[in-house]
Amino acid sequence: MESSVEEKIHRKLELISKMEGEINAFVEIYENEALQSAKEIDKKIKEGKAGPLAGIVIGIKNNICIKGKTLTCGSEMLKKHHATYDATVVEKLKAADAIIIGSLNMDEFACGSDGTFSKIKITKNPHDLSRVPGGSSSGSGAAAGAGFCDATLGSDTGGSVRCPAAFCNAYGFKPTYGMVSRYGLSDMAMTLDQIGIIAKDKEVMKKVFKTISGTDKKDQTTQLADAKRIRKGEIKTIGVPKEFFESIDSRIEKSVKAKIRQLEKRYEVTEISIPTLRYTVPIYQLLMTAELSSALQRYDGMRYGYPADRNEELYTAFAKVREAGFGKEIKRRILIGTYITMKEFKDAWYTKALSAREVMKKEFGEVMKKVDALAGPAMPTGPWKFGERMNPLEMYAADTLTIAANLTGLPAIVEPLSNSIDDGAIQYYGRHFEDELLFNVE
Amino acid sequence: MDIQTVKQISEVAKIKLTDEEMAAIAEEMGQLLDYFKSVQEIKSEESSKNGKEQHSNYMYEITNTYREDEVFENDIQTKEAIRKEFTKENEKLLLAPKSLK
Repeated sequence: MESSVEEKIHRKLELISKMEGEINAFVEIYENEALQSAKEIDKKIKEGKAGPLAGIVIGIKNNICIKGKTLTCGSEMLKKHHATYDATVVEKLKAADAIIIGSLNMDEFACGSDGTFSKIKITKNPHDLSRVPGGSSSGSGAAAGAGFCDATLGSDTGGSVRCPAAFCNAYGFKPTYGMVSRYGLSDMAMTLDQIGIIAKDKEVMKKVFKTISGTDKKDQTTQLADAKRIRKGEIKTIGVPKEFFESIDSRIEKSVKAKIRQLEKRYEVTEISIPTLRYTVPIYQLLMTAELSSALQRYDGMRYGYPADRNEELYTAFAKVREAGFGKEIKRRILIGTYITMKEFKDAWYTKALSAREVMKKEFGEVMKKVDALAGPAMPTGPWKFGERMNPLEMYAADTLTIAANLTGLPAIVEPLSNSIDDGAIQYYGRHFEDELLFNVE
Repeated sequence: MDIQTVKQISEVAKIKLTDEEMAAIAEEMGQLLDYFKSVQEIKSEESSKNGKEQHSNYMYEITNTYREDEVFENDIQTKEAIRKEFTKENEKLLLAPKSLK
């Protein structure tokens, strides 16, 4: 007889209790709720009333609201904050009878590429505890990679789902911008953010995507999701941008190129060039910091979070909260974002970055008329050892292959190439709204 | 980057930095912006409307939508949960620091 969902949860919790002490993927584990939900779902299964995700165990990045649960965003600022409502994706998962087993660790306010900027704890790569799990959805990558969850949700602004997926040896998916509602996701950069999925099993990932995607009135950037999503059709032609292979670790280059040779048997593969790809990191850094500094303005110590001293004068009260509540990296990004959008400096920086994004938009538009998808490595290196990358520019360079999908809004998926995290992962970009076609590329 | 500019930016950003932090950030920002300025090399498109370049944050057409304000009342538990998050409360009201001297 098939084991019950309750038994499955017990097994997962057992695995977690054995390994979580070293891996540190979770901020909180919802042990009692998970077992309670499991019992209820077992009952529903018997009655034939269970939802499409019945028994699927999910972990949620701690910047996505779950009513009544702490929403730390990996930060000192929100360490004690509790969400007062469910994000749309959480509502949808609950309605589909998925079991949310806990909240997952992340870099502070989703700013980071290896998990080391979390103010809560440091998550480790389950395949090699001396190495980083990737970021900013570090817990999401580790929990999926370790088997704690069937699937995890993360947020991807410049690669923050795809990086930990690749580093932890799992599939990672960033939907088309506007396919998944961001209502209840703590904003990082509103024109770049998208909630994504990490899972070792692509079939589970597809099911979760079907559940969480779609038009949501509460997030008007999803207005086209239902109408435009494409389920039928095939990807036949794949372009490989040569810029994706600049400064890549040689072992990863070898395994990705071997995979591409296999793809040539079933797809028409051509080498192409997208010149603005060379500028992805600076374009992204300028636009992201501008939007981030705006998104983080709301943290003033009043309605929630790190408390403001009411005996101080108003401006000083705010400034002191933000000094104490934000980490060094966040401060750095806020200051850059503030600087480049100030009236005196805007034209030289922010406006230029917006123009550059337009150029990138045009180049990708031209390319995607000729090919159905793009392929290349997911990350330029494998996961580094803790303490190896301390320089901000080195950290930012890690995003070089993933960023363009956020700047253009295109969907992108990463697929591990072997059981070794050193062989890296291949990444595919698709056309807007062709998310479901992208799942079928093998 | 000079420290005066960093001080100015930190005031706009409402973050109170120590003198050491300002000095460190001034140097870091200088290095980072030096790297980012390659963006200025990219030749922008000729597209213009009224002589001004058009930028869209979106790759496809979406329209800004409007809706009527609908007032609905949250249940008591939600209201209490929101109030519980206030960092300082007085008889169900959020307390703010003095803004007038």
